[in-house]
Amino acid sequence: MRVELNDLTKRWGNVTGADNISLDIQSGEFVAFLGPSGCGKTTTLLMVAGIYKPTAGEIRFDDRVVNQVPPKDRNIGMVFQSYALYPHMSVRQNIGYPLKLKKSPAAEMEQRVQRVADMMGIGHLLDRRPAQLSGGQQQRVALGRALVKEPSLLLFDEPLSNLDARLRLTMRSEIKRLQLDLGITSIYVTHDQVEAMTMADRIAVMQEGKLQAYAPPNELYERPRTTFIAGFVGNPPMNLFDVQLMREGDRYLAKRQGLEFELPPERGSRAAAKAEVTVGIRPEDITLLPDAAGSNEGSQGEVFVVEPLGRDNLVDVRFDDLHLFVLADPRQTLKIGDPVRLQFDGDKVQLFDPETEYSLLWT
Amino acid sequence: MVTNQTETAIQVPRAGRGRWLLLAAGLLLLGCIVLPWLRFVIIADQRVALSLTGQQAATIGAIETTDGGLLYRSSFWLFFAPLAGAVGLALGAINLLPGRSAPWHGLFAVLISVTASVAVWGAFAASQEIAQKQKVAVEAQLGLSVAFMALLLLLVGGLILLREASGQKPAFRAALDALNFMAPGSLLVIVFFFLPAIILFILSLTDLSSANFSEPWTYVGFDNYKRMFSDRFFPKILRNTFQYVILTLLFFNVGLALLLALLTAHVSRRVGFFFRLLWLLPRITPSVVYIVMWQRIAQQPPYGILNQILGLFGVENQPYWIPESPWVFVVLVNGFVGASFGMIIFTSAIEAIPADLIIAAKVDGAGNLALIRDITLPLLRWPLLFVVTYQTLSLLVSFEYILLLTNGGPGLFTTEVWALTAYKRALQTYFGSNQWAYGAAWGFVLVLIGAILSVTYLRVFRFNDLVQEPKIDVL
Amino acid sequence: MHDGLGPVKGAGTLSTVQMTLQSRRISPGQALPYLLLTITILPILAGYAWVLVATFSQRTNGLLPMDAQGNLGGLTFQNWTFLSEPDVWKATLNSFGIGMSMVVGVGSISALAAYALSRMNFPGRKGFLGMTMVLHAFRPEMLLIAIFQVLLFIGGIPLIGNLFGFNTVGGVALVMVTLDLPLGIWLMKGFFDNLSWDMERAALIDGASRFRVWWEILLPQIRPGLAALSIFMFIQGWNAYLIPFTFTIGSKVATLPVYINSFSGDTSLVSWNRVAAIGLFQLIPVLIFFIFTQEALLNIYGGGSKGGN
Repeated sequence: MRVELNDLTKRWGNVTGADNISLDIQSGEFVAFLGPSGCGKTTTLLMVAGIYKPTAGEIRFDDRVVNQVPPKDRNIGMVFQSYALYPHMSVRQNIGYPLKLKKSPAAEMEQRVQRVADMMGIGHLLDRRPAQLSGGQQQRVALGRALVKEPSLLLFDEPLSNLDARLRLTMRSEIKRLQLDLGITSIYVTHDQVEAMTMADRIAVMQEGKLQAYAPPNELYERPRTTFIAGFVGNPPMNLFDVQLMREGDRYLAKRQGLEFELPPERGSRAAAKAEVTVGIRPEDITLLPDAAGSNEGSQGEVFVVEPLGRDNLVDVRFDDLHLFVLADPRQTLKIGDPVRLQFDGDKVQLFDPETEYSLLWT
Repeated sequence: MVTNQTETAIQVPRAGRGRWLLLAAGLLLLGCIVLPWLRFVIIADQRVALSLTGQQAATIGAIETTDGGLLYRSSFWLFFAPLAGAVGLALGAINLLPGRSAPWHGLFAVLISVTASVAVWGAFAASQEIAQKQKVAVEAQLGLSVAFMALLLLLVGGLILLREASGQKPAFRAALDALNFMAPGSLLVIVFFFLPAIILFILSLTDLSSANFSEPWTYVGFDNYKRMFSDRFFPKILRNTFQYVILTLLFFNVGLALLLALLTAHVSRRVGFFFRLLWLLPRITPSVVYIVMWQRIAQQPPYGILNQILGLFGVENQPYWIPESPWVFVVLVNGFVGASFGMIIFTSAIEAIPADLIIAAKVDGAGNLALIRDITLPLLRWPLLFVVTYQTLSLLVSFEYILLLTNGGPGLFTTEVWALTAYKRALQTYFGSNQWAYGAAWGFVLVLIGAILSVTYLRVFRFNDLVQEPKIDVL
Repeated sequence: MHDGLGPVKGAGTLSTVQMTLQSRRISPGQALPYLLLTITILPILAGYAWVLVATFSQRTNGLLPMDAQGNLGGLTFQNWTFLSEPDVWKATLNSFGIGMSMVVGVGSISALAAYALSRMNFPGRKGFLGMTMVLHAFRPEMLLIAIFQVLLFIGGIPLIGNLFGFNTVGGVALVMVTLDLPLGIWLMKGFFDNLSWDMERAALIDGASRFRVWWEILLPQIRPGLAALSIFMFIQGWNAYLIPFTFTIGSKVATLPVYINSFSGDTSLVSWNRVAAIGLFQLIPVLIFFIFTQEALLNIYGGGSKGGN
């Protein structure tokens, strides 16, 4: 089923939950709504579900406006962060509840519940109560309940936030796999950009009720259109700082106290009109050179903190009042206070207008 | 894709149960009414014959004239019932046709049901008068009763139809749906809160009393209020009321309650719980038994418990304490019930104080008393205010225990408070008559005070801020 | 129980802290709270003790059982002979009926209304809520005079009048139910307020109507609260004195408290021991409820922050 949101807005008095959200979701597509808490992503999802009534704008399912359609008639399945299982019902009753409400025949109900439960790997737990299950099992039950009525749209509201890290990883791939197999159009709300990046076909980044970007994950990662997206997508987050832009012939130099580096001309020229720009560079696109190398390449700073991440070390390098995060090879021995030089991968440098916070490179 | 099915389900208003209820009500009405109605008309026509064959020859004349009128009146009223039945049937039938239902059908059914109910009730009242004298109208009464039920059915059917047919207007439907949940409660509240409040005011402007109950009573303006304020005992009653409220509130409902809350918080948890539980006992003890207990405590020797204990210390020949010092006991008896309310509120508040705060104070070297003075009491400001406002109101209008304990005595108005006066004037045989209207005047002033106090207390507690918004829009 | 009642969650924090911080020696200062608590409760204990003693003795002097000659002793069961009188059982039945009406009436009606007020978005919701609050503070005792007229009026309505009019158990029950509705609605609203919104949303998406959500999903979860309210309401109905006394005439519709009070008038001829026995008879169910549901009863007051007297 195709879903289309046109200028969707939700207000409570003076508070705006969602502001003019417009996007479309193709049939079978997996879309993530990504943003910090309170950004309006859940509000938008609940409007799609029919729980909230839009203040303005319309929601279309396959070209049909569904604004006035009650949730039960929208043929959707939803999975909640809190699982929202019915504690007084067994797993069987929980999964079977949508069918019971549809007045399905008992035999068919039994069969479908069993099938869905087996698919979710909880076929042996059908007679337990939710309280007797682990978090992961409960989430599977919730997923089963959403799937049992064969919905044409699946909604996920931060379904993995309450799980521990390892389980989150397995559930992530399971949900993705399931969605691919069943081909159900899905909307997945999350504040975890890793989840969004790994699962979604397209990501809608939201901030303060507004849609910031709606693009495939790699595009968001490589071509962030605002400083907010740049800072929010990617882990560890992108370094963002203001520099003075100098032009010396064909060369573009970015300068800041204690820091100076060259921008490649094709990028620098996009910012030529500005005297001051915001530079964004990801920690993995900076190379850490020991000061001893003695070259003039790069700028000199000092190691402030080293956080070992296992595969890499996350190094906080200080240039006066500026802190930059750099991913470094753990074999490189670094001590706090060591002088180091940084080399920026110029082709990966992002440039933003400090006033509008929009990218100077991508529109 | 399932969307097509849902589309049809949404666009066309469904008239399901509503129309069947209307049909059933219509049939029932016609069936139940026609027979007794015919019979009624026949009786009315034969009233001369009826009165001639009546047994009580002496009163024939009187019966004939009054009952004849009544019967005619009844049969006139009764035209409405079959009319309502026919309308119900017609509406039900129209709604059987696909796509032909509209909200106004339901509305119409509701209106006709209400009017017909009033009519049937009128007929019933008339038939009841006849039945008392002649016992000819009993079966008609049965028919009328069933008809009344059928009319209620019509009402419900109309409401359901109204709701079913209003599918396209979401806001309207939302209000109706919520109304479904609220209807039983609202109905009772209207009948037993709002209506009585209005009646109370109207009553207070008349001279209704049991002396002229059966006769038409008259409007007397604010005479009852004038009489009330110029009553010889008015100052005494006013003083009693203040005395009762202030003493009980101060010493028990707030004072003792606070003391108990603090004490039970400073003993071990189990013991504290046990004592709080004991303090609930007076509240759940039937008032009658509770008062008997106090009477036995205060009895003269050798029966009274208090005097028995005094006797152990050599204090002999003591009186029955309640008439001796009635005020002590009025306050004690009410206070022992009232204390538990504040105690529980304060206890919740004390227990809600973060443990960190207490530990920090203890680490800083605060003793128990300092702890109470510097930490607990300041945090109890709001609960205190709540208990004071709420209990003032409660005490002001409560009189059950005084009624049972002293009934305002001993002697004239010794312990009579305002609420008790209102009750006694109106509903207790007082010098041989129930002065409903006069009692209503006393009562209405208290209702006004209650209303003003409660609105103030909504303001003080910023009621609007306490209400959470529902997090689901649809219904 | 705890789901519904916010303030109870931190139960015992203060005393726990006290326990952990205090040393084991018992100082006079520590004994003082116990002493004060015991002294203040004495009248209640004495009252109950008297009821127990008097019930099984011919006479009592203070708390001591006496026989007819005024000697210690005189234990007897003769005070319980009232059990063979049909009037007692009629009164018991009436009281039980009113108690059960309170349970069913207040329970169901307030659960319905509270659900709408707590969880539905409809025009006029705040007005209704405010009204409930005002009603709740608006004490019913003063309205008795007018309610009396309303009941007379209802008595004139066909069929309904015979069940709910003046001088019927139904009428008394209806009045009592209504008068406790504001309390019931407010308490139930508190329980509903604390339920998960996601669960209700899930049920709506699963295809349930609001009514089914209420009945199948939410009510089962506030069962403890509902039970506490029911017990409380049963005791209210069972103990009811003023309203049955005001709105009924004669033994056919008298309730137990009214029946007891008819014995304990102001004359000295009253057999106090007999009154005590009937009193105990009435107290037994209350005490049984009390013992089994103590915590619930304490909580319902604490949670609702509301209550009578």
